[in-house]
Amino acid sequence: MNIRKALFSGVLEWVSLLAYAALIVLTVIQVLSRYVLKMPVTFTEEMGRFLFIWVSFLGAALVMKNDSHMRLDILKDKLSTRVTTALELFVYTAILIFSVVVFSESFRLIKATTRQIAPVSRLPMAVVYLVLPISTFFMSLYSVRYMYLAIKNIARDRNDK
Amino acid sequence: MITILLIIFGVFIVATVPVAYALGLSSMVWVVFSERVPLIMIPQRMFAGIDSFPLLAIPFFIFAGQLMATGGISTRLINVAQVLVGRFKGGLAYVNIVVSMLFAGITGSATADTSSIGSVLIPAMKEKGFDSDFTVAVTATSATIGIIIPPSIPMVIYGILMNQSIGTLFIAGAIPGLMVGIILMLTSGFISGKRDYPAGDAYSILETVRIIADGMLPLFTIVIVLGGIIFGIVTPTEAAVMAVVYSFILSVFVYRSVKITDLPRLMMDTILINGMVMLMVGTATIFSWIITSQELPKEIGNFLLDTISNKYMMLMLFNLVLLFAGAVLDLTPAMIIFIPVLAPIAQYVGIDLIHFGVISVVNLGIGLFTPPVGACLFVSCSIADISMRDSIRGFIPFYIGMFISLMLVTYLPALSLWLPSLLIN
Repeated sequence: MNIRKALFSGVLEWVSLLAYAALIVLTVIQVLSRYVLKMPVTFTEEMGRFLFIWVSFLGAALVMKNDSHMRLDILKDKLSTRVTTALELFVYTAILIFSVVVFSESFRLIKATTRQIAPVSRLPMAVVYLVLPISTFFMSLYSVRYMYLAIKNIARDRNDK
Repeated sequence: MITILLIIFGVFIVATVPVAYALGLSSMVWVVFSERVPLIMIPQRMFAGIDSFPLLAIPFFIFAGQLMATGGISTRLINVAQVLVGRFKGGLAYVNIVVSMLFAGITGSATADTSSIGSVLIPAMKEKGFDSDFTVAVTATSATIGIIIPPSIPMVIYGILMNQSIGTLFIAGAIPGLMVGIILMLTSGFISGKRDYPAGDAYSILETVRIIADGMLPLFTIVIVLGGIIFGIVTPTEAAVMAVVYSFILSVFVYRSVKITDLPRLMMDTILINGMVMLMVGTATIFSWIITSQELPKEIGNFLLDTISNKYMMLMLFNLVLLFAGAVLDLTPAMIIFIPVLAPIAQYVGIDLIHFGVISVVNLGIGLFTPPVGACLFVSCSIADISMRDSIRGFIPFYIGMFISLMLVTYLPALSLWLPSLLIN
């Protein structure tokens, strides 16, 4: 139960909030250092890009937590509930497949780039790439949860009849 | 092979798979079956697609917009507009349009504009005797100026997708944005005359000076953002972060309309919107890489050149496709799906990519207040508490006005290209 608690509580939220705050501060420093201190911006620019990538992929996973990724929903009202549940199941399976494949492929990507180092900050690229498996891990988790909810809905409809 | 990619993608979209995943999955299917590239290319491209400094402007502009929209700043801008145009016949409609234009110079999104301006002006207009359908129409249509006048989040996405300078795109939108504002004011002036809408009060010189002085701090944001970009002092990303800092100081310390404890929630909203957009940009990078590597734009371009040799007809065709895309999809997914396909074709048949960027944004802007899917339409209808069906009559003159604007932007490239050429030389 503790594991489950940790996975669904606000860890992801807090990490992304901190990363976003750091991104704002870093970019402000960049503007200041360029115009006030006349320093080169290569370091802040690179770090800014990396933080932004983390914020974006963690944010994408969080959007999946609420299942609010944009979709074509103009047809939704016109379908029967049964078709809708079947479609939901299809949608979450599709998301799960995509997330699992990207998860495993990004591990291969990390293994292939362990020696690669970012040109300015000397940060190992593997650290930056690490957000891909983290994000897709959570996406898989959330899609499984929604699949479970959809199946529960189907079972409940059966019982009602 | 490429047709299979498009068909699978279409099936996923109709089956209500989220756009971001539909783009990624159909590309994945293509990669597996074509056996030409390894699957590892998928995370690699997704990563590379958002590994770009100019993209950072998007989370900053979203956040600045959210800070601006919360009280304080928007009320002061409305007051300024009130002083400028409120006293004419149908005054509040002009106020609505002018404040949209002022807001457009600060934020880059149209829906933020609709909700913050609409929540104040829609009730005020109804109280003064403006019909609901007209009120909703003027709010929703004028909000789309927000993405034409710089800064503009859709322009940033277009610039990233098509590898164009975002600064140039911003500058290119300035004259078309002003023009749309003027055309909408003429439209609402015409309707106000016909329906006999009231004029607002005139202000004394003393009051005028006081209100404009009070609006100086928010208006200064426009100077920071636009001035910085137009004169090449800062990059769009740096201008965006300066807008964050400035609007943070104004709303938290000067006007106290945002509490420190509100910040995590506002930031979280930004992170979510940004995450949604960036996953789409990431997976669209794979998708569009496949499409270009298969030379699809060239094939379609050749086909179009053979069948319709007339460039004007071709531009009309692009407009129709974009209008349709904007009507059935939200703006960002419409842009991410259609631009990587259409813009290379446009370029192939000899249309300037900066000009095409402005055309695309105006088209997709019209989609924002066109049913069945129109974010600005929904927001303003729900504020006015009127159904979409009942509001349509009020929209008709504004559709005509927007269509005229679209035609001018499409067939007079100088409207978009003159200002950038002037500033770059």
